[in-house]
Amino acid sequence: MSEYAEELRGLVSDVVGGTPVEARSSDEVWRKLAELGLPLVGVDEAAGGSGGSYDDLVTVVRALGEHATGLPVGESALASWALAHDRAAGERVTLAFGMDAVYEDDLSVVRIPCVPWLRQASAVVVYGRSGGATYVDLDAPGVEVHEGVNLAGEPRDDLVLRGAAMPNLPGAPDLAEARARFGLLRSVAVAGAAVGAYTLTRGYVMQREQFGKPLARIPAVATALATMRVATVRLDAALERAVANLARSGGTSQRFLAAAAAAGVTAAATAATCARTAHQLHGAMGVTAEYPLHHYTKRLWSWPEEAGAEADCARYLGQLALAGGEAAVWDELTC
Amino acid sequence: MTTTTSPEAPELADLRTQVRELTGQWRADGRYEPRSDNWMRGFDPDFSRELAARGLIGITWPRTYGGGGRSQAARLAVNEELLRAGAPVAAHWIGDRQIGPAVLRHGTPELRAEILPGIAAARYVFCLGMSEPEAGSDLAAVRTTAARVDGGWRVNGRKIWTTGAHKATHTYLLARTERTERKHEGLTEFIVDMDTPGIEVSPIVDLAGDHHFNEMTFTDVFVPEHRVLGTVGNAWRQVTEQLSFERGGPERFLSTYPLFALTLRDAEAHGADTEERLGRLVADLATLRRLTWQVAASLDQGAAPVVDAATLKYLGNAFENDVVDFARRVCTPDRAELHAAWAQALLASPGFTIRGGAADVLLSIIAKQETRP
Repeated sequence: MSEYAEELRGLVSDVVGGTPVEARSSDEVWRKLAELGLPLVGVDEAAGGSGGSYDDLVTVVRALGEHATGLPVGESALASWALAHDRAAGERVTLAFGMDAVYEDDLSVVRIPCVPWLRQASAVVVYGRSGGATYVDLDAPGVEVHEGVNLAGEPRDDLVLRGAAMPNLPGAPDLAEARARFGLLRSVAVAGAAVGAYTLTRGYVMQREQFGKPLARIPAVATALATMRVATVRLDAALERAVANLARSGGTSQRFLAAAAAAGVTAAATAATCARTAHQLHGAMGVTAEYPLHHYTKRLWSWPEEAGAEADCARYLGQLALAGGEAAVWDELTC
Repeated sequence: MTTTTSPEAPELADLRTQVRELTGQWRADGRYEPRSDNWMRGFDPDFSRELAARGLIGITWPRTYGGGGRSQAARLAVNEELLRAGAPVAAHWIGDRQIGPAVLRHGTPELRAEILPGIAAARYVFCLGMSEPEAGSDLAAVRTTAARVDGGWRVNGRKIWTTGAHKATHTYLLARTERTERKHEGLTEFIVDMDTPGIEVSPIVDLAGDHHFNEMTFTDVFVPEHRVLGTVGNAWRQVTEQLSFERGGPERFLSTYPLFALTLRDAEAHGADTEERLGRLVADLATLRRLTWQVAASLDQGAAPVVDAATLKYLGNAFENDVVDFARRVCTPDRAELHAAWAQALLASPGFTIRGGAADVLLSIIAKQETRP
């Protein structure tokens, strides 16, 4: 993928690897990541970003996932990328999509649920249902942040807008592209967490002895471990394909949108397999608060659906296949 | 990360077009019907010779031996299109896929010169003398023996599940040349002419009523010395390499593609649930195609992608079966063509997850690779 991949992986590992797994989403870690400019990777330097490409961002997000860290590097980078034509970038900007919004009381009060790490942001780029993007300053009147968390304890806050000022961002990229890039980064994070869970599990079954030999020597255990490996290889292939289609056909192309959806479908399947099997192979050890596995599996349980339901991704692909027929399936949707 | 030649690389477009035109013409002329599993069941030497005339068999081999001197990616582009079209390619498939590459890797220059041009011209048809009544998934348990005699070897034993032996000109043969304590040692590979006296072929009809399997009996069959493939006693390493070639190809997920194509025509009006299921199949197919391109790229770089190839086959065979399940859902009584295609694929399907490495064996190969200390 990216020519800087090894270097970027090393940076993430240096910052996060030495921190105990339960503290890897702390303010301290975020500060270090921000000092390195990682939350602005893939944003032009001219627009206040760190430079680099979306590929580089993929590398960073995957590496963070591998360390069970869900800090909003991808969200910041994408929000700044979306802003780049209209405003300066900043690592304290995040991203929200209004298609899941609900209206309260009267139509002037909008609630957008589960925005990642909103409490930590100073502003948010909000994509509305119609496709346009707006800029919301979190300190502005009529803007509220209602705190919530996902299963992994990561902030998933509601954004409530009571007639707040929301300047348009006319230069923002298409909703479909932004949503696909965001969804793909979630799938990338899932791939990282899946590999993290796999690595822990592999180590455990090779070292833990029962019935006089390492667990890995029991054929049923070896088979289960292999199904985890199959799931991670599969997801990586889907992700590499989506990233390649972005580079080749562009972010608004149907090829990229379909490949990102396919990656979403695959990520959901891989997450389910890896979380379930990792716990099964760890036995009782894996269910304690002390053992690190749950930091991975809670993320595998939370992340896949946060950027759009797997069923919606699948249905989108199915509709494209029916509309385009076999030729489209062969030349566009699976190529 | 592996660099992967794009399936759409411009230099491959011409190959795809050639195959599309040829299969299109043959179908238009009524010379074949696309069928699931036709890479194993669709035996038509005339079709294979048409491909050979276009230089599409042995495409990766050196030109000196009748090959095309091109990349694994080129071969993959050709084979993807052949499988997509459900074309009858069984006559050359085994020779092109694994015997040719094995001879190229391990054969003497004389053996290469003798065998490769014949495969590339679709004159030689190969079958695989591997499995035995007592050696299926446990291939190292072969009992067929080859004993040294003047000028060569004398072979005795039985081989089973030999696809196409009744139509083959040659067989690859895995035989024991030495009794050793460790069963993975003392095995040797040979190339044998099927018209050699002492070879008897008897049919085994499968549950669909098709005859592709056979049992081969070898009674004092003489094999000349120059037909040893590679090193005497070293076959285990050679054959496991050969099998990893065998596993990473597109036929491991495209066996039921002709059925899939039919369901796409007929899947409308089945509602959201059908759309979702179809979408998952599309996602799986996209990933599998990506994986097979990665395997081809690894082979081009001289690597042996064991885990990727085993993963591909494991997932690919599951996809093939998922297509059959999906077809059943969209198959209503008024769709006779789809129903017939579904039934044909279903009856072929039990073999998918067995041949070329059973699903369970594949997982154990992956686990073994992954848990090396």
